[in-house]
Amino acid sequence: MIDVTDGIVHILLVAFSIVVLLISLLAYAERKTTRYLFLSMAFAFLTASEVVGLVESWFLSTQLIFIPATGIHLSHFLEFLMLSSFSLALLVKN
Amino acid sequence: MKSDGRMKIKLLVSLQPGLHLRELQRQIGISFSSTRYHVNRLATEGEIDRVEDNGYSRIYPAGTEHRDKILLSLIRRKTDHKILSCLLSENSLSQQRLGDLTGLSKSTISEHLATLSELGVVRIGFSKERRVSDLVDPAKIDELMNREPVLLKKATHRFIDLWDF
Repeated sequence: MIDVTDGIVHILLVAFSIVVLLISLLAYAERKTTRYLFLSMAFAFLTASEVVGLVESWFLSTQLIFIPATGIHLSHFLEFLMLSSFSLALLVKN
Repeated sequence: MKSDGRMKIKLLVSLQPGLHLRELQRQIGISFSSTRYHVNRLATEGEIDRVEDNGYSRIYPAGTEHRDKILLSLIRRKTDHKILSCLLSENSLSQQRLGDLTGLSKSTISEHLATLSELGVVRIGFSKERRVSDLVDPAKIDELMNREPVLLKKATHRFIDLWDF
């Protein structure tokens, strides 16, 4: 059974991450530097992670999605990619 | 490259008169010191007007009238922008109503209205024994306000500023 409140939170997470992704893409379009590219990538991974969370919550009855043959939880892998992109954005010279 | 940068500056300033240095730097995407250098050169050569205003260095196309500079500067200040927007949408607003619409305190509104009145932008009168404010030239304010960037653009610029180090 789907918990409606949890579902709403997931939808809001997806919506907000899309807004921030859009802003970061506009920032990249304006500046076209590697830092803003990494930031856009980080927010894209965040959005993907939130979408996976929403799918797990709404369509798979909170069953987790794993990457085949690795046993890695897809959402965690996307969060790892997001944090890596943020770190690169911090370290790269503008 | 130098003349290219200056061309860009002149173009941006003509499209958005009253830009301040930081905003300009963000939009052309070169370093702050380079932007300042080009702006100083253009100002010395009389190609643009640079005015110091409340800690901001605002840039206008050469020959912008003094009155327009004042109005553009006011529109770019957050609090004055709020007050002017309300006065544009409703006529003869009392301080109480302005406070309700803007969410600003009575003293802030009073202070800003006094400045706007001194500058000849707002006319303060009485209606039903209450002090009310009106715009002296609403058409002009409307025309100048429509040049302001939209919310998403503002958010993008804040995002750029946040990560610009």
